[in-house]
Amino acid sequence: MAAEKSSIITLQSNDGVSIDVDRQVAERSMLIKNMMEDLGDEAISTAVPIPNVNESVLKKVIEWCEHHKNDPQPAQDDDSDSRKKTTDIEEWDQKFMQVDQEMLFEIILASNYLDIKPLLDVGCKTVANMIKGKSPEEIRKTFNITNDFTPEEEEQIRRENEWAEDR
Amino acid sequence: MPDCLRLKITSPDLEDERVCYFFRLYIMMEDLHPGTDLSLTDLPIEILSIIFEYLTPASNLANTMLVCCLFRDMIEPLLYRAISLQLRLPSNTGNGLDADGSLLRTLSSRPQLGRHVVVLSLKELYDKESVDFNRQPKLLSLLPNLRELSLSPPSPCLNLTGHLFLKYLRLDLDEDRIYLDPEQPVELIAQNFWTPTLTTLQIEWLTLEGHWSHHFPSKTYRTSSILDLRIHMYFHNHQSVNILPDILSSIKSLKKFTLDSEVQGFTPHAIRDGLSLDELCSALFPHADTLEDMVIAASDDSFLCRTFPRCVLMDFSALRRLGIPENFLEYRSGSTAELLLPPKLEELQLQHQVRFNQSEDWSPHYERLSVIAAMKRKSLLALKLVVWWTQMSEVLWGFSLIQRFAPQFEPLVCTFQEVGVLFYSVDQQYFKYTPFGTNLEDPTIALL
Repeated sequence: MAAEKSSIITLQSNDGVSIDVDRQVAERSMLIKNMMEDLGDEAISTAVPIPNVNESVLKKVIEWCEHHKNDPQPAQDDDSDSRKKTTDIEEWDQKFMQVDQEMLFEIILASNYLDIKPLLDVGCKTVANMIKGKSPEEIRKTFNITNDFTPEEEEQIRRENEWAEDR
Repeated sequence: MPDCLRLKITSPDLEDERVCYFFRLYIMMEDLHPGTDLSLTDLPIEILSIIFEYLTPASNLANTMLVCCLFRDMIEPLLYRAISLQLRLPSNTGNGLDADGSLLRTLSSRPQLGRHVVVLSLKELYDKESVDFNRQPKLLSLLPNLRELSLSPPSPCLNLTGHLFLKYLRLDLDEDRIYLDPEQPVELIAQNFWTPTLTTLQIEWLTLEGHWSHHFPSKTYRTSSILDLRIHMYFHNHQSVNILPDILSSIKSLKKFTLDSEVQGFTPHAIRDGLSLDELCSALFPHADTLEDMVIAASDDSFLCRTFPRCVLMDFSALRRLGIPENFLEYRSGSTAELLLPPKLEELQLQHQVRFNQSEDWSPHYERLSVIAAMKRKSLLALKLVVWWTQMSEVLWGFSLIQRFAPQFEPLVCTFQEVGVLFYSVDQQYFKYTPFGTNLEDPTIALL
């Protein structure tokens, strides 16, 4: 068990950079964990290609996995019970997510591809917190989104959902 | 970049220190969020929907919907999936917003939106003059896919027989003064007791006035599909509790039963019999094989008395979770080393009521708790949690007598720890604040 934990695997980003990672850290990714289980020890000797993620993003994701390597694995279907969706984020993760928007979205996409659900959740909560409390115009500005409604459509949506206003 | 800033920058005023400062700040912000190639709208739909799930309360969803067509299409079903409205009296509606009227108008003109609604919680503050009970049924008729419904208070004409997916129903009768006839609340419970798919019925502030056993006649014996019945009962004068057996025997097979009885301070002397635990247990006896969770509690000045035992807890062999007054625990006859507790028990909450003129000898209580701890190794192998609930009325609480009565449980915590059972003690007047009582809160609210 102890020997297995200390083994190193090599990940290769889509821009060709190889990064050595502790197996326990890399296995925060369910994709890698399942792959390791399927391939067994022979996978350790060759570099694992991560075709959808570039070096800087992969390093960032590994940094997160390193810090959270001892967290308990999330239950398979835990969202059925936790109905209250809080957007509270622990302090270390908040600091970790203080990156530009492109990096934030890249981290979200990478965690989705690598199947690291807790990191995906932190990323999505960060975006949700950037949206919360803002007017539609402020949201458009923040994320550089074009308003593709006609004024009439906009007014109709506003009227239909009036009941939700101060809730 | 804001226009005012752009003007300042291109003008000679640039030397102005303050403008320079803001300019630098703006450049920094642009560095943080540069015009990126990858934008929020480029994220795959499944990721956007995770993000939108976090946009509570509903006002955030309503604002985000107005951003662009893509967001509107994605968010509309989310916004209408779970609706919680707290309505004020018309006279108190400061901003002139008539929320249920607005929702009703929207759903009437676009009925397809009503099909998204699976959770609805309505809390309305009525007064007798302004009450319009027709709105509630009208609104409900537009929501055919409802699975969870909480009404505070429910309209007396509530009829959910057309709701083919409803699993959870919470009826808060707190404002019973709005009902013209004291039997109306009972009628509406009986009316909806046989909703075909209903599995959980939660009734708050149930008062038992009038005669209502005819609503649960013997021909309804074991016909309702309810599995989980939670009742918070409130006494304020002479009332008979004989209806409970009728209600319980109308249910096909019950898995969970929670009863919290509450009496207004200073009136318990008016209730001669109180609630008899033994009668309750014999009323529950038809469900002895299926009942996994049984909690019977008394809050504030209410009390649970013992009459004549007609069954023992051992008969409820499926019980995993049990909350009862402590004096209901019995030793196996001829033994002081074993209590009569069902073998699959995992969680146990014991209520101990503190009375005014009681000088307490705690040793029998400590003794029983030690016996429970010892039973973990022999007959209660599944036991995980034991809660001791010291309960007193609001009045006693006011006298701060809890200090005098508070037992010393530290040694017991260790005794339980040694056998791998979590033990703790709480002091509360009301069941709803105890560890076992928290599930009486409105779960539909938690979603929003």
